[in-house]
Amino acid sequence: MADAARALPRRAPVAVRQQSGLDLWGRVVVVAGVAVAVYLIAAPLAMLLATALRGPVEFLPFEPGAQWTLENLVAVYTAPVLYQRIIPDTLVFVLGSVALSFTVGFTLAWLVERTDLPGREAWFTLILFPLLVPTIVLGIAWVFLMGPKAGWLNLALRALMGTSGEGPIDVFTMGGLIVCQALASVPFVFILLTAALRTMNPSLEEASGTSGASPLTTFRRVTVPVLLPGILAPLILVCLVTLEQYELPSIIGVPAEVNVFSYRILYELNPADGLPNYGGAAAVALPFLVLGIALLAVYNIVVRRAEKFVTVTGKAYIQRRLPLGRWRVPALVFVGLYVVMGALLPAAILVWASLLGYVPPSLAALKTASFAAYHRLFADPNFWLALRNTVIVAGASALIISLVGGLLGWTLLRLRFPGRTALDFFSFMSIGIPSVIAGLAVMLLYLTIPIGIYGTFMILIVAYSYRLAVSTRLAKAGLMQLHRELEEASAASGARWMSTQLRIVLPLLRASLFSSFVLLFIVGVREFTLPLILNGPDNIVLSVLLWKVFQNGDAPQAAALATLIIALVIPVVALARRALMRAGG
Amino acid sequence: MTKLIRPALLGLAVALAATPALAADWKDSSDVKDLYEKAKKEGEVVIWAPNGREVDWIPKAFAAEWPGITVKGLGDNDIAPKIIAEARAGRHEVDVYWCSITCVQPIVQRELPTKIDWSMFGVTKDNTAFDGMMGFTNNIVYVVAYDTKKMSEADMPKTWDQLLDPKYKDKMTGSLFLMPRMISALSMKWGKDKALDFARKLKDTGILLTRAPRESILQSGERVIAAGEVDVLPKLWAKSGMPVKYVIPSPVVLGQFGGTVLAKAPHPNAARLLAGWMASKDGKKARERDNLEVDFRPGSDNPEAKAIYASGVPVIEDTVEDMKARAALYKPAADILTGQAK
Amino acid sequence: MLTVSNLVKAFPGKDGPVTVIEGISFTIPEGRCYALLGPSGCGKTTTLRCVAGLEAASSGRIEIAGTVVSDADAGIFVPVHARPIGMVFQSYAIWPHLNVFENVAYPLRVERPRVPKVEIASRVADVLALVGMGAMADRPATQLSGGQQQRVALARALVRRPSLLLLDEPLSNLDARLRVTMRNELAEMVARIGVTALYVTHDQAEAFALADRIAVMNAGHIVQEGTPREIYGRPRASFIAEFLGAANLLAGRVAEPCGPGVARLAIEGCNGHLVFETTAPAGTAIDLVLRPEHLVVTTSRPANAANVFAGRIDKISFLGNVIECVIGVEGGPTLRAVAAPEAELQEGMAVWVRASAGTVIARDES
Repeated sequence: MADAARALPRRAPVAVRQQSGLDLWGRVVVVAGVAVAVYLIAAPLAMLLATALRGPVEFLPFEPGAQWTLENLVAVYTAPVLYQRIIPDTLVFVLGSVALSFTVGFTLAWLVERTDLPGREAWFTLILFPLLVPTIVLGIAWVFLMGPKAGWLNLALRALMGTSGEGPIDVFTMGGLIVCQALASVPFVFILLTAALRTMNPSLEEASGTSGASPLTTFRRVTVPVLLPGILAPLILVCLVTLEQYELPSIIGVPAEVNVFSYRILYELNPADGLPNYGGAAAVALPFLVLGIALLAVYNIVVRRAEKFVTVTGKAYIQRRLPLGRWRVPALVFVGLYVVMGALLPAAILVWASLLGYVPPSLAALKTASFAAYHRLFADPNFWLALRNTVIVAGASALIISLVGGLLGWTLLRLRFPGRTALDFFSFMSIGIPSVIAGLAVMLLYLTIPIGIYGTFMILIVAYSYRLAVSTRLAKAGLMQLHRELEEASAASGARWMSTQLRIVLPLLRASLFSSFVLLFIVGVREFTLPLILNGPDNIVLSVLLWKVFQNGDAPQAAALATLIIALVIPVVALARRALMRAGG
Repeated sequence: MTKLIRPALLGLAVALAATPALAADWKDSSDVKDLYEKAKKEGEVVIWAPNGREVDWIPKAFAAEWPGITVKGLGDNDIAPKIIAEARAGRHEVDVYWCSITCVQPIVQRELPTKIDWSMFGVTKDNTAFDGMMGFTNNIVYVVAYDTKKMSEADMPKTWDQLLDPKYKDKMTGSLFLMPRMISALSMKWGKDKALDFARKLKDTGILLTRAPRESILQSGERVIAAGEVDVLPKLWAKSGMPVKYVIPSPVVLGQFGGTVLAKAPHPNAARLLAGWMASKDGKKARERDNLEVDFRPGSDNPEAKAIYASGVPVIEDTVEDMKARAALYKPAADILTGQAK
Repeated sequence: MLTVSNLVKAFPGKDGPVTVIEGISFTIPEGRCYALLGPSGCGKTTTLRCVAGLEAASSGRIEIAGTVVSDADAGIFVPVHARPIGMVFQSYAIWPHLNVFENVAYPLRVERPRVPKVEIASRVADVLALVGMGAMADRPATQLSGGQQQRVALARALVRRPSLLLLDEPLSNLDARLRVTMRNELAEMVARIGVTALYVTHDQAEAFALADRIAVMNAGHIVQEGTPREIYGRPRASFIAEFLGAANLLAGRVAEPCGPGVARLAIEGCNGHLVFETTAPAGTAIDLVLRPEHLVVTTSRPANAANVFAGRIDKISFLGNVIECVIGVEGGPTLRAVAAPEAELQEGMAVWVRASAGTVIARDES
């Protein structure tokens, strides 16, 4: 008997591996995926830190004469302009535009998701319009709408009011900048809030009604508190993204004497004499990171609370829609106003300018309209090259980020290992890196590493791919709705880890992976800073071509190109809409 | 003696008559022809410049005179660091770098360009810089452009400080990029204090300084004067049909541009040919014809330049010696103009 | 009390309006519990929501405690928050950002004129004690189990002393065992409090345990209304009989009357006639409902030879408290019967099945 007992093979204790169903291949894929993710984010971060500490300014950070020094940091942080102008201006700019974009965005999301507003589908697509267009194009369009002397809106208002001279609207003020940035941020806010609204159980509000609370009281006591965590999270995200913006602050802010952080970074990179001050730029960018990390920590706490408030049943609630009644007309006016200012008027200006140049609108001018600008555009081989590059780069990077991010999301959700929270946080930090710095980092990195991708579209794909955070979050959200048991059932049926992922998880995650892909594709098309920094003769993309054509003084051609970029992305947005619907928020 | 003198005189006459022809026929020299053959074997040459517009015209113009060599151009604001990074990484993509004498400084400091024999291309020594590393190709001239429908030439300022006249208040736009450069150039004549004071007062005129294209601001009517533009831009705007002209206020401010050949250029012969051609009279003529950029140095064939030098109006040239002083003023001027400092 | 008259509700649809409730009427007297019972899609939940005011009826009249709250033709619609109701939702709808006390206190806090704090505290404490959640007043809502949430939901509905308590399938999200326990507790609480209640469910056992009267609904109509006993014992439609229990439904025809209110029936697949109560005339097509518990299974031929089938046991399931038998009748139907576990029945045995009771439903009525 004792022999028999001893003959029983001693089994090793059950390892984590068995609980997650990972076999050898599985482990390889997961480790590789995590390594790729970490590299894509860590490399730019390390580069940023290193660059900030290298000087003096006469040497590039990687040159032999450069040394480790605190010079840059000292120079930036002892400059009085930082405390007198930059920090206050940035705070006012960010808080102002975020507050405005949230107010407008929440109202729009509410109207579209929770009421019987007519034409909801159309409004949804139109509201997303500013997201498609490189911000620089929007900025220029708004200057021509609201410039104090000759802006179209001012012309119209002056005609209506019978005044002359300037105004009444002057876009070149802090207020003008805030309004424009808010207009540009609304679509992003809108998407996040509609998703949050969709996950709220309508019974919570009905229960309030049956408990005797009027609709207004219900809104105040139930809707807002329950939605609050779902609203706070996007709020923090939008703050971070706004901090990074520089297109509008440079076009509108500078004439208005508004000095924000992001512009300061570009300022350091474009001196008249000598070399760009990479060290100084990186030193200015460091607080972005620190602030970003702090905000992200808060975000994590808020999101965890939000997740407790959401009943994860795996299906979107069928929302009962509030009848607007006599509020229908004001609501339509509100939505219409946003769509006009954010989408229709800028588009109109672009089309007009592409046919006629920036002449003020008049019937007489129409006679001189011509498609010459479009002909010039199509005849330019750069256009076709840029088109090809844009599609390849946006598509490939969106694919990579979706897959790697999806894998990372799975790893963070299903596996337990030390450092999991740190990895989660780390992956999200990529949002805190401004594009300028990321582009810089990628450029410096790949000039040093002997992989021959510098100057090709490959380097753009790698650079774009640092935005892992977006798809990791989406994947986690999608995975949370996917019951663990579905994967376990697959394992119990004899499938190895890889098969389970391919046959069960991927198809079920299809919807959220797809919406991640579409979102990232759109982001990739309008990406401007990264391809600008990494520009080579062969890897030009549409947004950079647009800027170059603008700078070369061919306004009609630039407007034509902008119009075409929009035409390219509109069908993608329609797809995105359908994908978001299917993913159920 | 007379027997020797006549052939000598004849020879001299022939030589004298031939000299202009010789200068024009630098292309016929065997050195050049040799270079051309070697360049053709290399097949292509890559030129980088700060701006795409400045290289886009080159492939066609160069191919018209030197067929068989493809020119690839890249315009980018961050060329200098890229060249330095390339050199450090041991990878070399660029053959020729065309830019201003200020911009080329960091490259020259690191001894990345090579010295070439410019005389082969008919370029005299005073049209070169940095000990033969750079051959001058053209200048930019700072001008004041205006909408001819709303203003006339008589309304325009004759000197730069006349810009501060109250009649120009809220009427002007200008380039954020160019204006500080112009002011630092003016400081060579005015001195540092007057130049910075000018910057402050200019800001008070409500001038709309921007990175956006100024022709759109003029076209829409938002402003009617573009001050401190480089001459090429109003010429381009007029060419595309805008009703715009320009004047050149005094003192005339020039910027100097030229091309350098990089020592580790992947196509050294084609690079020499391109840079040399650009600095030659033929290249300058092609540049003026195709890209509206002119040579404004004393001795230039350009009629406008000739008129300026003839009139005795002071000209602030862009020279290597002045560079440091000018550069020192750039940041303070820019800070004032962008409101980062007072 | 509640009176619903000719309630009609139509929703707009892709190809025109879809009528979900096609004119139903019922009354609940003061203090009684009334159940709407039926399969999914029959319109019971919509009816409840119309009574609550969460949906507006297309036509018809709803009167709660003597006040007309909804009359589409007269243009009357009292909004939900003004109706004297308390409602328990299927998903409980406990507010996650409040704790148990605040969830229950909510209706009192929003009531105007204001309810004094002291009174709120005491009323909440009372109703929490009633549902057995007295010790959990401070617990955050996000930490409650399903059963606890359900009790809190009930407490919240009751705290404002409503004239009408509405319950929308409140037990369907609980596991089976909890459901049985809660069902009994709920029945006891509702009876004790004496509040008028309207209960919606698809579970027959729940309806029977809780309600004084039941309306069986199908496709927007009330098919039968009555006490649990009436409906179970005398289902007026074969649909009801099937819905209410695993009845045996045998198709056939009235052969001929053979006494006052009794007739001989010819049943498909059976030799000989069966005799059951019916007033339907000869020749009427009928369904005969035989309840499993009314089928007596014996291994020897019973003395009373009326309504007897001969057959063989195809399958036996031991369910603990009873044995379920599936018996195949020679050349005839398959019958389900239940027997006591002591019956010593085995598969393959030849048995006799005597139907001690049966209900005849005329086919055109169903």
